Amino acid sequence: MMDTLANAFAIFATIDNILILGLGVVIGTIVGAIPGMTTPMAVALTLPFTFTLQPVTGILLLLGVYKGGIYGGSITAILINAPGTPAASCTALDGYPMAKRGEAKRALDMALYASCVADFISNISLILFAGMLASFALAFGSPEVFTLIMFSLTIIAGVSGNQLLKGFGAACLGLLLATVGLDLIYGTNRFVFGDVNLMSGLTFIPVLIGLFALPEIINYYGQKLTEAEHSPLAGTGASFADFKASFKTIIRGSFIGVILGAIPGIGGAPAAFLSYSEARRTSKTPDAFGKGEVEGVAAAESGNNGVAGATLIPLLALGIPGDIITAIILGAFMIHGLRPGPLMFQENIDLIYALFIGIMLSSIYLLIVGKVAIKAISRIADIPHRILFPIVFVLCVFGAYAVNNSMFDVTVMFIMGGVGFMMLKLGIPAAPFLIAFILGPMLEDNFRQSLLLSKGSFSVFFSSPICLVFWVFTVLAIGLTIWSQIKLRGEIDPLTRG
Amino acid sequence: MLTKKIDFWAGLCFLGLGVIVIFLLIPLGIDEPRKVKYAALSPSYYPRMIGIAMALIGAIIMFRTVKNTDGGQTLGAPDTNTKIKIGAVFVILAAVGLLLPWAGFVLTCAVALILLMILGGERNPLIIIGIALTLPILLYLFFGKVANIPIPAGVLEPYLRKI
Repeated sequence: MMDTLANAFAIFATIDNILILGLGVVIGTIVGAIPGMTTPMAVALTLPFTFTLQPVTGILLLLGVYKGGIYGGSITAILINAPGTPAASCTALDGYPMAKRGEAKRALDMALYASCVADFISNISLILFAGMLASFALAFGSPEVFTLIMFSLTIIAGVSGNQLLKGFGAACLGLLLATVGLDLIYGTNRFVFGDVNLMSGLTFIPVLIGLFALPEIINYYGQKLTEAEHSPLAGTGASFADFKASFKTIIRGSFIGVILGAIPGIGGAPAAFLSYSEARRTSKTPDAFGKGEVEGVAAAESGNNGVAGATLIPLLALGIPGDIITAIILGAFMIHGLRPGPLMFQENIDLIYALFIGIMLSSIYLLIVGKVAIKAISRIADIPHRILFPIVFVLCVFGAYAVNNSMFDVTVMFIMGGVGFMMLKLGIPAAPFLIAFILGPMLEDNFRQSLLLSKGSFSVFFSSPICLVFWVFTVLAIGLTIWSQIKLRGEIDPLTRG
Repeated sequence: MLTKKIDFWAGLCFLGLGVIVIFLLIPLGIDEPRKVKYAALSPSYYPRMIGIAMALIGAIIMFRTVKNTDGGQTLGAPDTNTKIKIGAVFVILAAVGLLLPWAGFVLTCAVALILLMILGGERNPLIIIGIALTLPILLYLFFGKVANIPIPAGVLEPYLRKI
């Protein structure tokens, strides 16, 4: 064991590895913060540069980009309400209202601390529990994932505030738009209307940018100048008291991220939303969530980043890539003649340990790079909104195009901007739409795959202990929401009568 | 002041959309396979459920608004100046959408930046022209040269290619 560790340390401890890991985190953070530039895109663009590097160095570069990218996505989500990734959109729910209130630095700080802690816990879990979590993850089939997503969707009731019905309506709209494209089972067209661009469905990023950033820009021109102008980074950063108050949420979110991250195909968005949902449910001030609650930012970011190390569990332990990024990293392994899986733990254990050392160091890099990034961003924070919003608009246009090199995506962004503005004016919350749109495809795919397996029998959704546990959680969550609504109405009624 | 029951309108939107989905969009927009083994596996099953739920939610919202005439949020009508400004923003957005394929990203975004900054109240010509000239070109170069994502340059293509 000690020999293996010594060998691993010898493989890792080179200037190249240490520098390149930091460079990866920097690249990832910058790219993640640009609307339209996604983390998978950044990892894919970096891949060719790893061909000439040593295996450990090349893979560490990709891992650095991956981890930096996940954090970077939260920067634009908080500052300009344009989430760079679907998971970061959960951060925007509270991060952007905080920025509007002049507490962006506090939100960015909390996002960074939560990201670093969650990343660290995720890495430790990867090192200690890879085997155990991989076997647990394999117990998740389509019915289990369906019930898990059902449970995640209960957060819709939470983020709808006192507009519960409108929130459900918005969620239906999100679920409906998520069905556009080719049918998964039969391969037939759904709402395509002969347009080739619609066959692969609506892309996440243009929809998210359109729904969140554009309505803010349009709405700005409807405000009086005095109320519209403020510095988005005004105010101080997150205090130790903030961190202490959110610590429990961060730890819980990290473990949610670790568990969901170990399941192939789940990704960061459900983890972020589930963590957010649990934070809101256990909070003493649940009504503050969605209106700029620092704990909400901590919950979303810890859930999102808790996934980062854990997605490597099925990759390293079983050779199964859980998402696009780990699929690219699997490609990097194979380019260097390595095949992740149980055999790799026997044949290249020193190399795996060297990667583990690098992964642990990436958490520290993330903290340093994040702190510097926040400082750098604060220098451009004094830009008045009359200049900032037009700049954001142009970033949105370039960003929406860059995702798929598609003019169609720019059109989608504009249309969703109009829809978002209408929703804003009709008092329809956008968050339920967003949650349903992101989780919708996963919900439907697993629903229908389960029914295909069970030959149309709905009993498949109650066939395993994991399913039953999630059903119990779902019923409890719904019951709790109804109870709190009744309680709230009971408190309001005497006031209105009086 | 003109006020509207926005809850009523929101309900009407959901109800209308739900009905359109069930009776128009699903029959016209979903290709049903000849034979479906189980009803729940049909490509239209899930969207139909969503359409029904949306229509029901809309109907409930409308019913509650009609029943409770005192309740519901009201929408204050914006003043004429605000209306003109928001209308102008929509015109700019629509023009950008239409001009992008022909005029390219750099030229269209430069013009949009100038108009939006003036509309927002910025009066310093140096700032307006400076940002309008540099930002779109920098983004064009970043996406084109660093990220290898070619951005359509439209009418400026011959000039921008030389950079």
